[in-house]
Amino acid sequence: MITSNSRSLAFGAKATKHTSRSRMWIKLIIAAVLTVGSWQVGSSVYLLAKAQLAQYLIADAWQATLRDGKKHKPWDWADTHPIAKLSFPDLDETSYVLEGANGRNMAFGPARTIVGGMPGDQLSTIISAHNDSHFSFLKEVKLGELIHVETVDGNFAYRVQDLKVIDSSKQRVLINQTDELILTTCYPFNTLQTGGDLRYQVTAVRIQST
Amino acid sequence: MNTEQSKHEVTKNKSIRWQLEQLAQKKATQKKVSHPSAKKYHKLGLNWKDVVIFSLAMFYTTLYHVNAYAQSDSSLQAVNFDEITSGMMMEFNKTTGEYHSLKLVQTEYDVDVFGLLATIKLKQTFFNDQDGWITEGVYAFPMADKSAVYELKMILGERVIEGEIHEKKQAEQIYEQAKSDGLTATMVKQYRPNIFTADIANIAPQEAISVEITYQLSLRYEQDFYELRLPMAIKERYIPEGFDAKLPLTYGVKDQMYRSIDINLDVGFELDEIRSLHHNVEINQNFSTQQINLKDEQLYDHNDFVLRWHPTLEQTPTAAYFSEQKGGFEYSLLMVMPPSQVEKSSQPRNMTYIMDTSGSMHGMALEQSKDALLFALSELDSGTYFNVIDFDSTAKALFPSSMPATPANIGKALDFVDTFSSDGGTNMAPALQIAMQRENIKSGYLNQIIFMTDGSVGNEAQIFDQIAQDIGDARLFTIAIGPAPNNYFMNKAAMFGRGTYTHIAALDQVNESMSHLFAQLQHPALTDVKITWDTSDVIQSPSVIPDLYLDQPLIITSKTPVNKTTGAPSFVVSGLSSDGNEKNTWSEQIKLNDDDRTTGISRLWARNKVEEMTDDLMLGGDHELLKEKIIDLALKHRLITEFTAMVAVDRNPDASRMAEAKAAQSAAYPQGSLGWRRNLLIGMLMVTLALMARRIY
Repeated sequence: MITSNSRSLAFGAKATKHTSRSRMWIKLIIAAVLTVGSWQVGSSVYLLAKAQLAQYLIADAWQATLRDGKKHKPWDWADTHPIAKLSFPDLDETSYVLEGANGRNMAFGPARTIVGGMPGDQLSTIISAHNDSHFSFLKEVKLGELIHVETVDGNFAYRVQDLKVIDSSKQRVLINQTDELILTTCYPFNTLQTGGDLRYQVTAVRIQST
Repeated sequence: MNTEQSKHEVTKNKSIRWQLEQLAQKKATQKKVSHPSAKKYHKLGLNWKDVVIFSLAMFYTTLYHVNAYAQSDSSLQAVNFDEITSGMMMEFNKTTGEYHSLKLVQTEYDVDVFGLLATIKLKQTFFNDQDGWITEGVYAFPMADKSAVYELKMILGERVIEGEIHEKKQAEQIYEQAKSDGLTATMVKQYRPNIFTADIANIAPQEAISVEITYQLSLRYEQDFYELRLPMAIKERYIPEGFDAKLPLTYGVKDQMYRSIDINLDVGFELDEIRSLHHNVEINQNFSTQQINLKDEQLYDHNDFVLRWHPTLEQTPTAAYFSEQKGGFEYSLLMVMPPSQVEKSSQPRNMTYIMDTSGSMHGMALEQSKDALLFALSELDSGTYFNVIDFDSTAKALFPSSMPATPANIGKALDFVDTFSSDGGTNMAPALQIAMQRENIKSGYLNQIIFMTDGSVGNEAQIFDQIAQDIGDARLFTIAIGPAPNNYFMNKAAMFGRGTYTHIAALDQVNESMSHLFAQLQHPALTDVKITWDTSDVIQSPSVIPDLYLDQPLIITSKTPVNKTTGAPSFVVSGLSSDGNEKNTWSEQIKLNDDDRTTGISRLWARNKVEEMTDDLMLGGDHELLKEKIIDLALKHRLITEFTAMVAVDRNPDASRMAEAKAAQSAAYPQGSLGWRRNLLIGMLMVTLALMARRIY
């Protein structure tokens, strides 16, 4: 009886020692997870905030461009400039297009692929943006809707003619010899994964604006 | 009765009430009982805050459906040129960083060696085996050190289109314009001094296109051989373990690794031996010239192709000279061997060994450099001071300051070297700083720093600047380890450190190469080397001649005005070998005589001038002024440099070809999502988990 008691006591002592040490570890792990977690949240909020706030600066630069016809950088260290304003009257959405569809520019706004054309040219204009920021509304675009593009050369209207999903590992955007507007973004929308092969493409043909 | 009844009722009521009370009491007791267990639940952490956090997280999960299609594929990442091995040909869209594969079906080197000069034609043949047009491809390839690239030809079927030299920006504009017009075009640019790229636009389906570039370089005579080195890979560390031809179509390596190397060697003297260090070759003698061909057509290794030829003993050169007349000037390339000094230096020495143990040194390279270091340590005599510094991402010195080479200290060093293993980054700056700081420098001693590395760094300019700033009276000697080091870096680091560069090509050459370096270190260097011309208006390169070590030739290129009345110019070479207080002078007079055979010396001269100016740029010279000068010189001599590029455009295709190419123009789909959702969700889940866990513990 006595021996078993003392044994259980000994066990108890051992156990508390053990738990206090493991508790410290658990605390540390919790703190680490908390830090990493909030860093993750912070970085995603930062990405999103950057994407939204940049549009205001780009809008200012675009206004300046409209005034004097010259290129204006949205911020001093930018190596791109706005070239057009896109508006979707049916969805009440507008955004400003940057020159050069690379990852850096697309973090700030829709961007134009340089090898393509500009509205007014007999060459496809290709504009791409991310599906979780500037082109998240692209899924709501319907056939027959109008898209307006404002450039330094004037206003251009396009009517949505085709909506499709393609596999970018097998296909490329065709640059046709017609005045058309091609908007691309990642597909599917609202997905957690990024960097997939599927793309959503909206094709709109030029109509003579009234 | 009524009352009785009512009484009864009351009792009945009472009993009901009692029952109810009993129930209520029971409930109360139950509540009381349940209270501690509630506390227990509470301890488990489900209070309202957690519920809010948790439901928020759940809300977010329901917002997104994880889609199996949208799997990320790392192969679609943007390409960093530093990670491109020589074997990468791809259709690469710079605006998006995505690429599709093309095939590099053949790489041909056609080398013509005459005396000290090698002219190399490098022809790369690409094939579009797809059914569609390819709008653009970019190929990165290594360039031999110290070469002057001056000619570009684009070969489309029977047609050969010559490239033009332009300022880089202008060349890019011409190329982009041609590309969007549907014209087939090629642009060759210098990405780094030893990495070039070829951009090719509008390749028809089932069409082969060849890009031929021509470059010249001057060969070096050192120890007792001449050496020609053709790099086959950009960087050793990025080469995959085994060559796999069955790579997925969307991923990079489509170089089929077919190489042909044909060398025509006309040295003008008798040869003792011709040796290829890493590859099987076939050698045929044809009168006075030697034909050397690569035996293996397909190269699976990425070793530099190194050919060495040893003159017979009586043919050991003392001076060699080549010249070319162009535009009223005489351009010359000359090599002078200073007399060998028999006497060893009597000045005591202080040696610091720096050893690179970064990840890129893994395997053979580390074994080789360990061997070299052990050899070096075994050669130390007791009057010498020494220290050993090991670096990867961080630097670690054996002793806080240099110590005498006593058996005990050497023993410590040997133990230290034994612990070296390779991993981490190549962070050179701290190691060099330790080596050049006061604690490791002894006044009155010959301070010699031996730097063993493969030179796989990206911040070359920064390191050169550091060396030039801090070297003081010390001397830096670089030893390249491994079969394909960054020769550009090794050479330039030694130049800024006013020492020499030794390359140990293979494990069996460690002792030979190290003995030679030690001989150089022990003999006094020839200092104050001067060249005095008998004419004025001479522009020579290098303008300041470096110290010369044992067996090191003096090589200069010069530009002199042609003067018919005075005849060929001559000059006197002089130098000073100082050993402690003793000073010996040496001088030699040489007259220039035209050989009527060499061409391209003017280019080499211009190229060396460009290199000198680029060095000035790296050390913080006036950027605009130097850039302008470099562009000026490069355009005049048709050289590809940091600021100039060559572009070839097929201006007259048949109309249908142009239309087809234009119609087939396409662009890769850019990446289409920022990816903040996933981060946010993961982050929130982690925060939730952590908060819950904190309540439990």
